[in-house]
Amino acid sequence: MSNGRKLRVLLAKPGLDGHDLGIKLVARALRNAGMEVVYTGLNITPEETVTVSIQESVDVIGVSYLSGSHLLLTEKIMGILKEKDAGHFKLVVGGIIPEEDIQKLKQMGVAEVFRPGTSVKEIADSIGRMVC
Amino acid sequence: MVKKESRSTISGISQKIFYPRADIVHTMTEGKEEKPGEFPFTRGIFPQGYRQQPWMESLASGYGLPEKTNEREKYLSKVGQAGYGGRASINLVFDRPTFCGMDSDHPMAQNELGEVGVIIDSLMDMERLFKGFPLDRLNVGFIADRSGPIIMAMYVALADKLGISRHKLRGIVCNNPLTDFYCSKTPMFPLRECLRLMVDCIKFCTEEVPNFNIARIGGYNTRELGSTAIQEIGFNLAIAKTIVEACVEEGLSVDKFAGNISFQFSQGSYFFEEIAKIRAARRIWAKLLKEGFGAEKDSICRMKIHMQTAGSSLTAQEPLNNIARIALQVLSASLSGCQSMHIASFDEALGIPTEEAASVAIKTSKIVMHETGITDVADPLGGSYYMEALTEEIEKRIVKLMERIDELGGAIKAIEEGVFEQEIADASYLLQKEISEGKRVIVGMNRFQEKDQKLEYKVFRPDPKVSSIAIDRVRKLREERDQERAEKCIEQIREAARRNEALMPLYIEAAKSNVTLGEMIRALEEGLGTFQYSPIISRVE
Repeated sequence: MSNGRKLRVLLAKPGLDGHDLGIKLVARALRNAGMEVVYTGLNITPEETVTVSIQESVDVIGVSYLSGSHLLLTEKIMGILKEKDAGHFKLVVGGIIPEEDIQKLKQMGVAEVFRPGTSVKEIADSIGRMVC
Repeated sequence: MVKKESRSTISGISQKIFYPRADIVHTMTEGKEEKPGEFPFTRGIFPQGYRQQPWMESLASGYGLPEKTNEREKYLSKVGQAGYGGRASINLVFDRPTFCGMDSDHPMAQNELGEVGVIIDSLMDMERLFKGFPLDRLNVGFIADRSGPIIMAMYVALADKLGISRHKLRGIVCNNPLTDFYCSKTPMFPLRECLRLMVDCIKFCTEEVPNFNIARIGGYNTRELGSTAIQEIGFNLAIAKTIVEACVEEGLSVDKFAGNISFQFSQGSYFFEEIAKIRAARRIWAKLLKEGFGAEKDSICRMKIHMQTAGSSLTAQEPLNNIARIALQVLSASLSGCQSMHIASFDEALGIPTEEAASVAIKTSKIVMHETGITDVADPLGGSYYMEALTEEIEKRIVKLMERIDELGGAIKAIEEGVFEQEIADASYLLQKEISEGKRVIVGMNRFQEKDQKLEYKVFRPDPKVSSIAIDRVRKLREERDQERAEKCIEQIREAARRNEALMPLYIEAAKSNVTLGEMIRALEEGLGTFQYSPIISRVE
């Protein structure tokens, strides 16, 4: 970061999906890469995701979905971000995302989509570059 | 001279180059030779192994509206999925809202209706789900924990309605929110209240539905979080012990209910350890019931095990490779002597299985069952120096872990304080590190990848119209029912929860009065309160 502040990332699991192995590994890896990570845990709403991001004044929001509800929930988050005039947040999505949905997510304004096989290092590097 | 290189199992057990006879301490020193079907059941729970009863295929399945899942279950039966003694086998996964106890019109539910399981809001949905399946000719499985007792009550209500004796119902209700508490972290009641609801269900079923397995203590989700095999078995045996203690405190006799507690474990790729852990688990459970709880009948001490091939071992890259992984896991599960199996579909890392992939899974089981000769001899690995030594080493480590949990004040306290979740998070990070550093090879993922590997695949997509149909149905149900009767049932559940009274008969009556699952869960929340957990991340840097 330009002012030497550590990069702040919110990691969240919007919706009711219970798979959190991946996002917890990413949380650890981002911390090991020197970032400040706030992890919300499971079962939170799109509204809560945005509210916490604003409260914690993060630079990047990372959300993970393995339950197939990525399109619906991401659309809601993007809508609320715009509503709250918080469109400056970079939003990245990880999880089981079919090929055909990547473009749809990017059209909504998602900065990056991380699919199975992406290493945690690649995720950390990509997020690091995003805010330079 | 070849360089000596250290090797260890997933659980970190150092492996020798070979195992000599002297390593079999257990089998050589205890004097009496243990046969299959004999206490403590290291070698399996039946004297004749799979000749007596081959494993049941029990694919966890379900999606969309109940009618859709009904079609899928009929398809699975058609391609060969079979229960015990000619029964049909149905093992149901519920969508996340149902699993969490939310009706389809709950604001949090609407984004994911029918996505990863079947939608059940009411008794009418249960009727749709089981249409054409005679309940007295079924082995049914309900993969529901927080909502498990209510789902079970709905099933009993359906049997009552159809005039089928409760004694003829067979199957399993998972009914174990304790494991779920640190795994999928479903929104929960306080942990001790969860245990109470579970015991309430056990108590009722022991009397009223005596041929039904009243709880499934699942280590699978623990393992899927990245735990070791030792943690998987150790944490869940500690939980099982807590449940037995709670039932005994409620005045239940071990000899009456403990035989209907069953287990579910994960079958990963590290072949021999996965077999040894099951042999060790059976031995520890049997001894715990007999020596710890005074079970009089040996038959009560038989650990009934459902194995689920490990979803987390499958790769999204080159998904056809998963067929080979799954076949090996089915082989090792059968060598461990389990009673039933979920066989994963090769596209499980991508989404809900397509019919074709589910059919390959069932046929994989049939090939192992009928073509390999595995079912001819019980416990074919028994007596192998390596297998017996590994079983013994794993047993020691599990027992030690369970003792440590006792010292911490028991499973409930350890879960409440985040000990299980923390230790699993640490183990999973270390395992992931080994994989990302290439120390553990995953073919097609970190080694032997094809150059222009693409992640394009045919994925299963549920019908998008599902949500509006489910929401309309539940709203219409509430409009058309006898509202006074429904409200009375809800009030009774709330009050009984507050006063610590029996709940199962009230759920059954409520289901018959068209009270929804979500309404019953809400009544329980009002009576019992809720619990918010704080997520825990690995400490390893």
